[in-house]
Amino acid sequence: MNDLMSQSPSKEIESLKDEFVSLAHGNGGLLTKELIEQVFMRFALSKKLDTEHDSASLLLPSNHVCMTTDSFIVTPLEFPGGTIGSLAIFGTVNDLSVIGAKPLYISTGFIIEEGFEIGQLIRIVKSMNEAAAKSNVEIVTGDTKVVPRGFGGGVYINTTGIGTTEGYPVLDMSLIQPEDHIVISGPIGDHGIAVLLAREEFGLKGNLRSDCASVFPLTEAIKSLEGLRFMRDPTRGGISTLLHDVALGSGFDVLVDESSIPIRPEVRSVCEILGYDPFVLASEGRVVAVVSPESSTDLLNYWRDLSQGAEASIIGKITSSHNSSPTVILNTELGGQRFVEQLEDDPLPRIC
Amino acid sequence: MIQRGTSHSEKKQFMTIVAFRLEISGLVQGVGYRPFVYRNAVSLGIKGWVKNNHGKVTLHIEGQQNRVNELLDLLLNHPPQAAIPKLQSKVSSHPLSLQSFSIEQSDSSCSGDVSIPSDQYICEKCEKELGDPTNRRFQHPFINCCECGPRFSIIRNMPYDRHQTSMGEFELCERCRQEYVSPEDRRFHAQPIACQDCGPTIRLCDSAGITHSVGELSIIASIAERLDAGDTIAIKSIGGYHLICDATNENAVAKLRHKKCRPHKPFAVMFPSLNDDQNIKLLQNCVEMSEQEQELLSDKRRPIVLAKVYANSNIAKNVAPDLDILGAMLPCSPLHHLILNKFKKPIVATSGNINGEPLITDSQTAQNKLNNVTDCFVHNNRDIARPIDDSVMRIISNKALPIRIGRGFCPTEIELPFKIDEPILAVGAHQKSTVSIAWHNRLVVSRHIGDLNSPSMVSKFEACVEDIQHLYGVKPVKVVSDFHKGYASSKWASSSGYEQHTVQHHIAHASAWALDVNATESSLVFVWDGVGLGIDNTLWGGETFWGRPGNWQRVASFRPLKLQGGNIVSSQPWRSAAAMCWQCGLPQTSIESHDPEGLVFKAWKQDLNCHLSSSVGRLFDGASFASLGLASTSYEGQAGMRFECMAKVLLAPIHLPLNERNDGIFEIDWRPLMPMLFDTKLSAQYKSEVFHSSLIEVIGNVTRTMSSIFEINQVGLAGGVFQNAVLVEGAVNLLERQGFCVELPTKFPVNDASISIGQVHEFAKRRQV
Repeated sequence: MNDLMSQSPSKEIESLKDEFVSLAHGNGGLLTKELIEQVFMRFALSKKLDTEHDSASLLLPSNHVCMTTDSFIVTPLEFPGGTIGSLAIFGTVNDLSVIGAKPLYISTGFIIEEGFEIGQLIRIVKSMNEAAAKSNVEIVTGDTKVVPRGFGGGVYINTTGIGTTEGYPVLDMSLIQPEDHIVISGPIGDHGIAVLLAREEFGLKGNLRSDCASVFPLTEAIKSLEGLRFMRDPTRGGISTLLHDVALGSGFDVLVDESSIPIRPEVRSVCEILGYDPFVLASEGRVVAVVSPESSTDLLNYWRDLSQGAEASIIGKITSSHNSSPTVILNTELGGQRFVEQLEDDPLPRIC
Repeated sequence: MIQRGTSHSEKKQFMTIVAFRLEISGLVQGVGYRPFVYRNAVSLGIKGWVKNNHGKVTLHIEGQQNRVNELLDLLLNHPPQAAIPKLQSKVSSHPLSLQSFSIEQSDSSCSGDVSIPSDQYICEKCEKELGDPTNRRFQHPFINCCECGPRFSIIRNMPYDRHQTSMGEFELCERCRQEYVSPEDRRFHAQPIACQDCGPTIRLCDSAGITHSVGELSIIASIAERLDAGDTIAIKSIGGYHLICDATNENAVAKLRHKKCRPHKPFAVMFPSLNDDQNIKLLQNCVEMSEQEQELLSDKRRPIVLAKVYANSNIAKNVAPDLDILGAMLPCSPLHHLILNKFKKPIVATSGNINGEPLITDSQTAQNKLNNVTDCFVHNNRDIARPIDDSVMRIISNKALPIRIGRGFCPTEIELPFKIDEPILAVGAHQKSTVSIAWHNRLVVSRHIGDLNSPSMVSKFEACVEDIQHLYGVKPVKVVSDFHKGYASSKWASSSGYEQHTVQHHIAHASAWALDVNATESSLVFVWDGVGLGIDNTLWGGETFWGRPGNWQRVASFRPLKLQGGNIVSSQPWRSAAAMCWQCGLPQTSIESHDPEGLVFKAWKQDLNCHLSSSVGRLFDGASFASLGLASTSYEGQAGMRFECMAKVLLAPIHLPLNERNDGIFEIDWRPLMPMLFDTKLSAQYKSEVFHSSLIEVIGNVTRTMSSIFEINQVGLAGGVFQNAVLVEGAVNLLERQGFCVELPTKFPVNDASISIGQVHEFAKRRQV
């Protein structure tokens, strides 16, 4: 893998006739075949990726099959810490992981815009395969379509994933009890700010990278823990959306402490200077777990033993106030309280 | 039906016995009206009865015609000080040959017609008794009578009878009972009547809640000593706790600021009662007050009055940092009066709360929340029925304008010049929240609630909505909220279950103005404030409307600023200044230091978290940064207030052109101000004086331009920007010179507190159109 990654793109392109994707690359003819062989197959790590047949044939270790699908659009396509390719793998792997499943197989569907640079496509595919290898999943089938110029944002990717559990998945928001603790596996918003800064070409010097990664090691470490109620990864809408879902799903208010929510200084300072709310920023490699108060310390210890959970923290709890419109309240660092705002389509200022 | 015992010398025509059944509404409960009726009826030899009935007073009177006429004149034209009687009906009735005049039991059912009295400072007679060692209420902190004392703050239910107030818990001693039932006594039927033997008591506690002292004399002496030592004291006042300290002691004020996390927002200062020359001199040495201001200060409602403070006064500089005005007030309760009479120096008196949280009204919460803020507590066991903040007033253009409607003024009501078919609840804006409820031809406005940013403030808002419905026995059918869906009040409205309607923020301002000044024709109204969501989804705040409630037309607006940062813009004036510079292509070194990596500039260029705004408040922010270097603020209005203070006179304006846009709206271009504002050689005073005069000229220009299109009789000013006295007085002078009639709202604040009132007016009129 490392050898493949270290090859220069120009060398790879030499083997293709074209430098840019054309509509003909998607017509099913010779160019399509060439694109698949020279780009998708060439960097594929899975022995099961079979282009000869119309379907992949898989043997599963359990009858309890979990399946999820997700489509990925991101600007820019490459950012510090990942690409749309790695994001498409980790996103699907994480959706399977947080319900307690072991992710196994992935399908990918690419929609590529006419004129897309093949060198960049190769970088995306390589990072995708690398992510699959890191996640111990195999990409077993795929599809490519090309849309006319102006009909797509470079590359869109759809991934579907299959995993298995040993029995029926048991984690559910309905298990949540008053006084349960809420734990997060690491700092919030790294992905959101890394992508934002990359997208707008801010040229900010710093080490901030997207946190995008498989959360399977985190979920695997705690999935059998007694008292674990629910897990989810705070992606779109950040922890705000996740916590509001928890409040609505459980019927209880959620109370979180600002001072215990891990956030990197770089993320905090960009939020402060641009006026963004870090609670609505996406993470792509974190898990939030709701757990009984008796088990929260164990959970924290399990996570902190893992390198990606080193900064795990208990951030709040479920309150006992059961009401018709449950909400999320934040104890601020100044000693007051405020509502955690839900992400709106267009957050408009309210303050005079 | 001949009355016995009448004088034989009276002529026969005056011997005619007549009887009437009267219904009197208006403010007649809790103001000593029934005892007043009783005393006068008895002294005129008139028989009958009087009772409270559904918020009105019902009377049956019979007697000689001339005496009855005399009584009617007294009842309607010479009522007690706080009463506002309105004759609802007067029907001839058969004389019943009654032998006496009596006050009958109130009708306990209540709905729709009640008027609720407000809290008043004690009257002269009570204040005299308070200081008289021979009086049995000497130094009694809860002294009151029929005509003065607490009302709204102790009323739990209507009608207003002792058992419906928090005084119901205190059983009257024999002497108080005698006064209560004696028609000749000035405490006849005074519901909160109390004395040292049977009334509430005060106690002094340390921050751990341990009682140190009881007994008025020793506590008051101890408070004075502690104030002298620089301590902060949390003291239970009429509508909630006050935090007090020595206003002349800079260290004491600094300590309070630090502990309350309130670095700059000005504190109000309470002066000793103006009952001797020494105290009057004390006040006059600190603040420059016109006769009108001093009269307002002495008003029994005891508002905070904003007035010029002398630079060399002995008020500590950190009481109102960098401002030349001070919020002054006189004692609002007998206890405050006693403390200040002992201490003999002005004290800071600020709301007892944690920054951004509700005013505290009970001892338990006070002990829990304020124990790190204060050195000791003065509690009492008279419950506060609802939190009521101090009221704030300012005299501008010789008119007393409310800034905040609180103690003494609330609940405020206004008679609508039209009828409403179904009760309407209006929930106001997000900051300076008030709610209004309207039914028939009445509109009642709640107390000032505050800014709805914290869960506890939203709880107070909900409690206030419940309270106002409960007290008046009115159930709304429809709710009106702001066009901005993100306001806590709008969110509440959408989940309330009532039929929800929305009114745009600045249109609500214009309609509130129209109700306040009773505008009967189409008018031109300038609505300038910080920010409100416009119907085009941009942020408005520098608008001019022509028309009338239900039919306003936006005719002028400021050239929009593109502001980066969302909610934080309002507390960081440098961002407004940056937007002004960037839009004009002016590079500014003073801005670069606040955006060293150029992130905000890049975000601004790429429309990230940017909003277009025509706000005049933001122009003031930008000008304040350019003149004073004020980059960030710690309280709302800080930039505008400090900038206003710089202006001493008005200089020649810079002309700001009016350009008609494609959408027919005249756009005011602020850009010609820029070279002046950012000229480092010019002083802040010069910049402020030119800026103010330029905005005044804008008001004149827009009015003149519009008068060539419309027939303008009245011009209105509304929105928080018009709390600026320099701007308002300049605009009024200019418009009056040009022959226009300018009306300022005097019943309700010009700021967002009036949004709920405007929402009712606009919605009701819209339905009539």
